[in-house]
Amino acid sequence: MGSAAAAYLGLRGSTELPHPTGPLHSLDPVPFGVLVLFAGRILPFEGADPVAVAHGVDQSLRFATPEARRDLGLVLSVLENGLSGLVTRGSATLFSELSDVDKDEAIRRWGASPSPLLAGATNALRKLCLGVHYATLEHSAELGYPGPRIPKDEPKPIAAREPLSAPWRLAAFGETP
Amino acid sequence: MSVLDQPGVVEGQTLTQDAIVEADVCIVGSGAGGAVTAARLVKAGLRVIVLEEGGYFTSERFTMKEEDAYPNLYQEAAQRATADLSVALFQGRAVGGTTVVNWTTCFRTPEATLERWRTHHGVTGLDGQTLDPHWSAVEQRLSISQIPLDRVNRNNRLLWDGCEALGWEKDTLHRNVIGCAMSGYCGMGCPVDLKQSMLLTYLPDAMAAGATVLSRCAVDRLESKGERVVAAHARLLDAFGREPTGVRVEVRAARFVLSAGAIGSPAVLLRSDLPDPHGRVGKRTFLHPVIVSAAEYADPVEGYWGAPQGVASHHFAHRGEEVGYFLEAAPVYPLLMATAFPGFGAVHRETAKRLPHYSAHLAIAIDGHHEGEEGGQVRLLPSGRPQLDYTPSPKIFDAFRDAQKNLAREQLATGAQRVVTLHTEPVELRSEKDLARLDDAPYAPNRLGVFSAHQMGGCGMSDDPARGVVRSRDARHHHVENLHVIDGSVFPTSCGVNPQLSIYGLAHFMAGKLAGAPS
Repeated sequence: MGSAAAAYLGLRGSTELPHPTGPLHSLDPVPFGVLVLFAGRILPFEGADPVAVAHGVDQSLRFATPEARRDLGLVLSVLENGLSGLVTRGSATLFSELSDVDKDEAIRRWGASPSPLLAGATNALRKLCLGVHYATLEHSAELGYPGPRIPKDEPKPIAAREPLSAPWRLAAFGETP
Repeated sequence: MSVLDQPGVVEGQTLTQDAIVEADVCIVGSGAGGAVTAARLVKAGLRVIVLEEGGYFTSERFTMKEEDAYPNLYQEAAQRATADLSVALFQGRAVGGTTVVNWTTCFRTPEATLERWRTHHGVTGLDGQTLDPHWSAVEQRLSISQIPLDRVNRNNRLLWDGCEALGWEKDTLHRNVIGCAMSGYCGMGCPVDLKQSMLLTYLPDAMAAGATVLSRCAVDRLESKGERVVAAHARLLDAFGREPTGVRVEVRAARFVLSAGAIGSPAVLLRSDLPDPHGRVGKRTFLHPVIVSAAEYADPVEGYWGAPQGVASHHFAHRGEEVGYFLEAAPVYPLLMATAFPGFGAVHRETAKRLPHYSAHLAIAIDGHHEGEEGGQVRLLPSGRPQLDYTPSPKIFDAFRDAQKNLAREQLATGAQRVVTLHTEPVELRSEKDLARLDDAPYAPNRLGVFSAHQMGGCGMSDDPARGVVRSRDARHHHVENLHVIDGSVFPTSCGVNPQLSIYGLAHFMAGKLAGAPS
């Protein structure tokens, strides 16, 4: 392939990707948009909201190392790159331009890639999407999970600079500090 | 008097000004090693402060929901993994450490493990007889007792019955619980304060005697002068444990103890300018890597309720030149299982929707017990955060193939309709004759789900400074006279059983030495 063609494929941008509906914390807009499309294939059924899932993954990645956030963002950008598409799945069509069937095939190929980064990252993104969706009782009920048997009051939301718990007391020892 | 000089928990996210604290002993980490050490030292009359990166979560916040538990109580929101992403690492991050989220299983260190440490790793003075009084003290404090067979849930009973049918050794487990409501949520923090984690036992003991625990406090490095550590430098985090608040704490002490666990303790050492002439820090990190066998039954198993672990088989623990493994059960939490099942889309959903009918059994490989098994290595990323390079060896993958067959055998023996592996392309087994299909299944990195809930090593003990980071007689750093490491990172190999009691016992022993040592 000539260098000009390669440059074209490498630089050809997405024509249209889904946009975030709120602030992003871990991903840039392009990888976020690719993640929405990816999530749409991981959870392609009614009741799953790929944009909400992608925002959940973006939030979840705040706990990851900066390097992991960078690598996952990079992998998402690479998935939407014509040159890498040609190398990894034999087609220069951008991920966003693939049919659903071809998107699924692309995800399967990446997950089975001999590249540890690509295989590992694809599986990590898959698990993140599934984890965000099934984290709530509402969605885990879809799997037949009835929830806890012990009633428990909902604690107040966590606030960044507030205590998490009541102060520790020497109640068991009959004194207060 | 500053709040940091008072006994009790100080939640770091609430502090607004930098602080310098002085103490006799500064302990980094409040888990199995740190909590026991703190309790022993403060009772010896020492002023102790414990620095903990995790948050102070109590049962009021143990909601039994994975959406809360994983970000609140686990390292990297339970997304931590090895560098090649092939092994998922479950490690706690909370006041009380991993003991807050473990599944309560307690075993004394096998004598075979202690012997290997003595004969192959330069460890002296550690045997069952020496450790017995320390184990006994901990067993009493944590109310460790054996669960009766009639109390185990169906997921565990199936393991018992499968082993029985095949003539394999098995037993019910010892657990650190009082009463136990059998809720099933040990892995998300006991909602009813019956699991005897460090949160309810040794930490309150330490605080009642005057210790301070500073939560949301991430130690960056230890500062040294000559052959002594003079200060621990830390930054405080917000309540979520995600962002620094900008407040910094410096702790000056006569003695320092690292109890931040495997991965955590080596990371602090790597970030500190401390001698490591033989390059031992971070090396020989072991994981007890795990594979899962999911079996579907006609009747519901409801593996999310009941004590997560109640039965184990060590029938395959000793396999000569081959890597051994032991068998246990795992709770079938929805997010955990949904992410463990391979695949995506409609096929994944159809598999996952049968959740109440699944039993999940584990094979836990005993790594580090054969010549040439060097385990993994903890390194620092450019950000200063730790990363573990660990890829299961070919011998471990061979053990996994053998274990997968045996797991399937015991599940089929109890009437499983089908058994599914967690390969990226799962292998489905419906009868004994299907087991041969596992011979062609790929046992290699990122080809099947591998997990770890037990991280050990990285600051291994040995009396030979060329082979260890700390001395075996007192866990003192070979090259730093007032620094000790007291946690599971000192294990020279994996311990061959669920490690919490091994860590408690060793901490009880080592802290006793430290309490009597001159400063």
